[in-house]
Amino acid sequence: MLVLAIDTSTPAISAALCRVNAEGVEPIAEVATVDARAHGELLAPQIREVLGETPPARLAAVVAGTGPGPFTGLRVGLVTAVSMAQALGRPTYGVCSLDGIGAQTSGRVLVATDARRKEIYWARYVDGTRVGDPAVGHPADVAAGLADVTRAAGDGAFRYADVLGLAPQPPRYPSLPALVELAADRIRAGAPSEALTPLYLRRPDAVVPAARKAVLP
Amino acid sequence: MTATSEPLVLGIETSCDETGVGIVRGRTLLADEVASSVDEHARFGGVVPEVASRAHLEAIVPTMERALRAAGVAISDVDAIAVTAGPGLAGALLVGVAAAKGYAIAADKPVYGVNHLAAHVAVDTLEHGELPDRCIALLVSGGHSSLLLVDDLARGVVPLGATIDDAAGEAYDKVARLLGLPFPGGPPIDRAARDGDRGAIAFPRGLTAARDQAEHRFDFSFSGLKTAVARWVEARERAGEAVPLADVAASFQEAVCDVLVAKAIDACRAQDADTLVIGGGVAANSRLRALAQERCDRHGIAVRVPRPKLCTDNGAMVAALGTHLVAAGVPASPLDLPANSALPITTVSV
Amino acid sequence: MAVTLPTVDDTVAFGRRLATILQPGDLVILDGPLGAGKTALVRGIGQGLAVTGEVTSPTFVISRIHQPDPARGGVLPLVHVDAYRLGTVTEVDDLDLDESLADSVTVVEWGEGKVEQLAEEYLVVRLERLDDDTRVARLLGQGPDWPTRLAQL
Repeated sequence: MLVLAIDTSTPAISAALCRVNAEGVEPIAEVATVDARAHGELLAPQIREVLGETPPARLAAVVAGTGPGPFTGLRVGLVTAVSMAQALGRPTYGVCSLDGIGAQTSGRVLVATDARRKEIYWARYVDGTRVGDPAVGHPADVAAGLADVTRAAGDGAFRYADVLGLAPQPPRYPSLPALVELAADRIRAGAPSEALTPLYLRRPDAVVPAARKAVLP
Repeated sequence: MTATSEPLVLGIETSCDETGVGIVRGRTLLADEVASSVDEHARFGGVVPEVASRAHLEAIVPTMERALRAAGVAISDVDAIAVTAGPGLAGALLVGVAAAKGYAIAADKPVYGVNHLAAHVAVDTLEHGELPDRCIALLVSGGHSSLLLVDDLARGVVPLGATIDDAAGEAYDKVARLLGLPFPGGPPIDRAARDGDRGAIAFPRGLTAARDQAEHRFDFSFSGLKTAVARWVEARERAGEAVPLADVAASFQEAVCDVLVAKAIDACRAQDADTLVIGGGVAANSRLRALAQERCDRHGIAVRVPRPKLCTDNGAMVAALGTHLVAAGVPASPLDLPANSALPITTVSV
Repeated sequence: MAVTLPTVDDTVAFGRRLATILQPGDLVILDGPLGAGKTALVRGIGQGLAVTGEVTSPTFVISRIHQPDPARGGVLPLVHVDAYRLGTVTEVDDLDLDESLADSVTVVEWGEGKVEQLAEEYLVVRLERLDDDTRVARLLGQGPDWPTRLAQL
């Protein structure tokens, strides 16, 4: 079965065409461009590119990374996935984008991606499987709460290596075949289509202080 | 492939609050579906819980589904997909443009990124047929107040004037709030005004003074009017006097419509146009329609205003512009077409 | 710091002056009642930053991005936001202003109590409309850098 995968939760605008069969997931074509502002422009041409000569009608499903990630870019990927699937009459399956990084790690690892405002989106992985839910927070706070982790992967791990106090390791961005792998059981079973809702995580400082003391010059 | 003289086009609109999907064949409207959150506006006292981008992502698939069903077509049947590329709220536009591209790739159709304001002009063709060789368009909404010269909608539109501060629709909303009326303010003010004396208070007509003619002959300004109403109401309230709601509504509305129509007619005469097309949400206003008809009749100018549902933001207007572009042989947009929150009116299609 | 602005042209001119001390990453929060001149001030800022496009009230569209005009020496984009229609922090977050913040000047009308979380330092400009129709602008900087910067005005 042919599957299209999309992830726009990080600055890496990614599209891939994969083959899913009983044995596993095999990438056929992948394109990723790192450009935090160009999701709206680059994703569609990249999808055309990975499809190549394959008519879209041959796709069995569309898989998309559902974040967490900066909203603007994330929404581009998700709406593209649902619109394509609607036109083709095929199901969509969502996977947490951080899992596309974590699945490629071993041991106890923190996966972190950039959430702007000097915060990170993060989750803990043990031998490639996520433990707990993804969250958003300040790297210092996150590191303080993770006694048993010594390594970190993902773009955020590199950005905030000093603050996290963890050795950063690749991959920096989600692997699309890894995302498809996580949806493979659903794909093979022809599971019902899933509404693709972004993982909107509430920031720790979401409650605005009522009246900050202003400094009068 | 259907004959290109009657193209079947799907139109998507997500430039601001509304998620709209419309389907048009030639100049026949087949479907016009919107995922309006106006009820939520009213319920939450003028503050919407889910403005723009988040809501668009959730609404696009169901709205498209309803439109396809209403028209009795499949995406594979259309000749092209048109989508508002701008102007508007960047994050909101991005969702519509990305959706259009997704549909286009999946169904192997060309995509046209179009100008929101030009679509407001094009929508009138669904009701009143082809546009004449030359017309003036008055577009008035919550976000826009513009006078445009339209010779050939496919080739380009010339901006003659626009608001230098607040849009007319915005003035209606803010004055409505001042008067304790619900949001959106247009309909309640229109209703209240019917019982009022439109000559009771002489509110200012912005940019109509002699000194404004040189630089701002076709421009609008409603901020001073808004402030004048606020001051007038505040003074009454401070003095403990009752505020004559109907008279204030009628006088405010007259100030707005007076200027809109006067400048529109001035533009028609200056540009040798004998047709005035009115579009945008405020075109639904009864006083604007009546005053425009009355004064245009006197000047031998034909007025074209579509029915209210077509005046507000919707996908039908985008589809109408799309069919016009396809029939005119305008090339489709490339797949990397960007959403442009500041798309100039001179760019009808990207 | 308080500035008296007798006419709307003075408000616009003050906006141009304010633009001379604005840098990328700046967040300016404008407050004041209807008709106080918030948009007029932003018009002046836009002129000072030499951006393209007319600066008009963005109440309806909520956010408008003006690109710099290199021909007139413009370098910084201006992100002009109106939070009048926004009620919660969630809605503000939804705008994803973070995306453009670091590289632009972001000015938010009706922003008090809604956007302070976007940046560690910001400038608040409160506009007041007096009975004789003059306006008064009061500037309050939040953050250690602002006092020095405002002193340059």
